[in-house]
Amino acid sequence: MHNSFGILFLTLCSGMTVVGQVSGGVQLEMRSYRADSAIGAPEVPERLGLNAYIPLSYRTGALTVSLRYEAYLTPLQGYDARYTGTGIPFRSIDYRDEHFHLTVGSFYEQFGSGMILRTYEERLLGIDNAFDGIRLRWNSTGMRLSGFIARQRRFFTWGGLIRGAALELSPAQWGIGSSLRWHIGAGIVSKYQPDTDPLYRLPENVLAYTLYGAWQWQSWRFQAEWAYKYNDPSTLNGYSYNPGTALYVSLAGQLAEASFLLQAKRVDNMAFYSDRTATGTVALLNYLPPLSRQHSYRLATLYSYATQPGGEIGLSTDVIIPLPEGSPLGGFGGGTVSVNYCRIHGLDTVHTEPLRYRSSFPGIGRTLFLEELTIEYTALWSSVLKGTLQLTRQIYNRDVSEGLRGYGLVWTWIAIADIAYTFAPQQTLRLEFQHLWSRQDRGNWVYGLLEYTLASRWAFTMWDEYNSGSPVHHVGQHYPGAALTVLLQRWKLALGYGRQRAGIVCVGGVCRYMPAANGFSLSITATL
Amino acid sequence: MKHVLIAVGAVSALWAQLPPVSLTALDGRTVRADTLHHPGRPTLVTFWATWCKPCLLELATLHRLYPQWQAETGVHIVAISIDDARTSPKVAPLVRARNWRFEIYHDENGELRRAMNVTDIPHSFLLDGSGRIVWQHQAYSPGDEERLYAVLKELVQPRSSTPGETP
Repeated sequence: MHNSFGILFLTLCSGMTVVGQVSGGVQLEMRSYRADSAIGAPEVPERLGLNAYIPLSYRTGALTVSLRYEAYLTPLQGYDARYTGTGIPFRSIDYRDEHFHLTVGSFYEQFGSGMILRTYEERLLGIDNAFDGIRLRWNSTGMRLSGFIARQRRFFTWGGLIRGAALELSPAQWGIGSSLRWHIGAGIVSKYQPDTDPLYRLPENVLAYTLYGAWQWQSWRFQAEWAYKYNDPSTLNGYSYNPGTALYVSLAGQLAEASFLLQAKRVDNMAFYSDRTATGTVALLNYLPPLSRQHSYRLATLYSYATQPGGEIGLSTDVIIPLPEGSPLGGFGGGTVSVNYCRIHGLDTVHTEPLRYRSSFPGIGRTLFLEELTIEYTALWSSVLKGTLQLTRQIYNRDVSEGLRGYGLVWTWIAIADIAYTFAPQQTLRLEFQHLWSRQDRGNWVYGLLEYTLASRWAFTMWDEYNSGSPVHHVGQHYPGAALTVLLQRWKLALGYGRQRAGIVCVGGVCRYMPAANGFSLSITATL
Repeated sequence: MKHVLIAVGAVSALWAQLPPVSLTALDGRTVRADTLHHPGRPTLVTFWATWCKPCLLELATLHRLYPQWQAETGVHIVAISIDDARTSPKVAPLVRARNWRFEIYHDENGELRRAMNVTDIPHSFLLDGSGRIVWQHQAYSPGDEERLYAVLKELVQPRSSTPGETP
């Protein structure tokens, strides 16, 4: 199948040179591995890992033909070892005109916020749960209809059988309540998997649906989504026959000069895979967006939180206060002070019979999963000096988030300063200083980074992450590193060397464990 | 293989344009990416996210320079947020607080990002008055805007050749 599709693609390319457009890209991620017992970096027999992604597409008129070549020789440490090998796991033919969009082959899809369906690609985490099948979309003024039948990518093969459809309406575009600018939608997904279990009688077809809508009036926006999944016993939920539910509401608005966002979410038994025996990120059908803040700085991501699909309830609030240009805090170019708070608990559940439990609504449990407060100040102080100061307080339930026992809550304070100083035309020095205080787990951490950039050309960065431990748990471990990044028109090359600590890496609230490593890294990206 | 090389060589000489992928505006409208450029005027399309610090620094800088650049070059700036469902609700409050006047769109599940082969953000594309991509740049550090401004000036002035960096 790979070969025949590749030949078709190349034939199309060679046959229509003067009327179409070819585009593509390259991403190569290479790393060498050296055993380092001080940080727990294991010996890797191959000593070198490579992940490569080379997408290519050809477009002519309403037709687009795409493919992506991938190579894992051998996969980088931390990626699922079943990715080993090479192939073309993504290939598709798209026809798109004003009203119709037909996809044959690979595609990604999302209904609502993704609570019953989201397929996507996140290379950093090794996630690619693309569908392979047929999808038809039709849209007209104020209406969009989508339906598909597909299998799902599992490494270099496809499995499962998934059917879905969604309808989205924007009545405001028909003149109904146009001052509100409102949108509503509904989606339904069904997966099929034969029941071969000798013990349980398992549902072979599992249905899930979602209803969502957004209402906007001036600067106010209210958004809500309700999702329901019929009983779906699986490895991850302990073969519970309970249905799954999820509710997600948010309200954004403006009071005086401040912008704010309030969000609340309740999730109960919403893990949804195309294979009931799957765990992790392979064969995953849905995405449960976490309420916690998505941090950007190194130490603030040390204890990253991901939505617990088994059950959680929480709320979060964001307030952003603008600082005008010329004000004492806003400085030369203005800035913002933002405050984010979130608190997430487990659900209060009672087991009523084997493989079933009762969970009342809202059912806020006593177990704290996460509490976090972040205050961030950022400003352009002058034409040459800009920066960010951040203070974060976290209470993180390590047992829940990392699937451990006996570690309990980790309490941290994290202070961060990120200052950039342009000392000569196009030449900037950037300094990051971060400190994490904790009496639990591995204690205190310090992180320092110094970066010199010559705009549009190259950057040299050096850093050290130091785990100083605590009075009861002395560690004293350094994780130094350095990297040179070069920009050459459409190419970006980054060569680095250093230690990498073991830990959880999260993107969008989905996490993957990264083992400790010591060695060189080379990253090459290009848009062709 | 020979046919393929000839094909790629011939086609790559053509100017690329934005693909016909759907995006969502802040008010929920659906907009096709291939209609984003403003005929006769340059358009800067930049990919960003609320959690990307260099992106926020770049957009803050562009916000400060935008009135002057618009007056001198007529440039239109379009900022495409790749925030997913976790952080996309934060886009509108952030844009309001920072008073950004750019056109802002959501690419929530990364359809345009994949079609444009954007790996890391920020990643900017400059389109000429007929929607052709004439320049692109990855990453942002202070001073990058000076290079962009030079390319913009060159683009809007009568010329016989294309700007310095190829598409």
